[in-house]
Amino acid sequence: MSRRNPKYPGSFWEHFTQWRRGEYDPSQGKMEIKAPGKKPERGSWLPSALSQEMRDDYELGMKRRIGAFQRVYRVMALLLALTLTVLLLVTVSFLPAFGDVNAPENNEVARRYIEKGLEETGAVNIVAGMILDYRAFDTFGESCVLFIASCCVLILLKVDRDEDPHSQALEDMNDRHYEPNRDTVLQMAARLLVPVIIIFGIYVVLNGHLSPGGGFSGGAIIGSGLILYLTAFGFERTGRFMTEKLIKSLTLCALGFYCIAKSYSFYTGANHLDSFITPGVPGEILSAGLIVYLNICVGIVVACTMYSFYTLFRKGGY
Amino acid sequence: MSISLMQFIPAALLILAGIVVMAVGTLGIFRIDYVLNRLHAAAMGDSLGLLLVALGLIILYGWSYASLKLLLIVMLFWIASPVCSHLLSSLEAFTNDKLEQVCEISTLREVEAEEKGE
Repeated sequence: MSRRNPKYPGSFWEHFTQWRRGEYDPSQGKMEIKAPGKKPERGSWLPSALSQEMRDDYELGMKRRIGAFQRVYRVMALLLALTLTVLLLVTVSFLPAFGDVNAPENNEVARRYIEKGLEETGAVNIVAGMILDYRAFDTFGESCVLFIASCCVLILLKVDRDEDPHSQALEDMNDRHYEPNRDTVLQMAARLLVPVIIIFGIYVVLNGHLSPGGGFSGGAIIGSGLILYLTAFGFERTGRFMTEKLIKSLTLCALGFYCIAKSYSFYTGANHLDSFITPGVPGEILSAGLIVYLNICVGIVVACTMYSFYTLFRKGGY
Repeated sequence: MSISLMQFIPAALLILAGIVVMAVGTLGIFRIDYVLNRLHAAAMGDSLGLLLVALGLIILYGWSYASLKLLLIVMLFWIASPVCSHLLSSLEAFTNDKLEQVCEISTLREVEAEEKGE
């Protein structure tokens, strides 16, 4: 039998435990809670003692003032737009000419990316080599921004499912009110297109270091394929594999792997000299060191984010 | 890569025809008032205009791996565009209460009975 601490009743930890259980409210009795009062009806602030004529005069005057305000508003808006246009055009004229040798963006960084990119990263696609090798943490930040954005949308739009089966059925019916309801034409088209779209997305992700494309675009293609499947067949078909748990664990695993892999790469000096991650033979599918795996991670994050955005905006849940 | 005149003239004609079709479709989108009529104009550019432009490009650059991709794009649009039009028109038919004022409505059974009668 465990002994209770004699100081426990009324202590901070007891209150904390109770607050966690929902039995204790620290703000109770301390905060003044007041329901917002009724808004005064429009026009009621005019003294009722005024005659109807004076009221009409007043309203006419208000109308005139609003009309004058709108005229001034339009003129000011036009002036503002013109000033901004002129300002931006003048700024553009001060920029260095396109392709100027002395332009600040033509420095040794860009030259090194172009000249040594293939040799150092092993990626035929220089852009992939840049964003996933030289500037990999930048891309990691972008993936995290996507993840945080989807978290915020989840917080704002997630609807708690009602336990009552009747209201749930009503909700489902409302959900499909304006959506195509078991449309045969759409289902046939989706049956044809969805596999092609998803395979094309996987191809774009896996070939990111060899050809234009990569994690972001490929993930967007996969996500749109999933959304098309969802639109055609409804939640009961996609809910079998795209559950909340799967999306959560996929996204977290992808982000975690990205972070760990790239941290290891930077820890060893970011030059692949002493690590087992080698650039490999340029042009092969399993080359370019980590870029393939990082592309897969980014693709998973983007696809899951797109799909969950769509489901959240449509129904408020997965 | 040099392009012979024999390639250039039909390719240019095809691409021009495609652009004309797309331009007419775009004009129709802005000029036509009713949704169902506007759908007709919008679908034209996706199907015929895209096919003509793609054929022109295939002729211009010769038969290669890229022309297969162009044909794939045309296939994708020919599958997806009619489905989109179908969905939009069915939504209009579901949501417009005064549909009988703008067009003639007949159910599938009536159409089948009419076809049998003829």
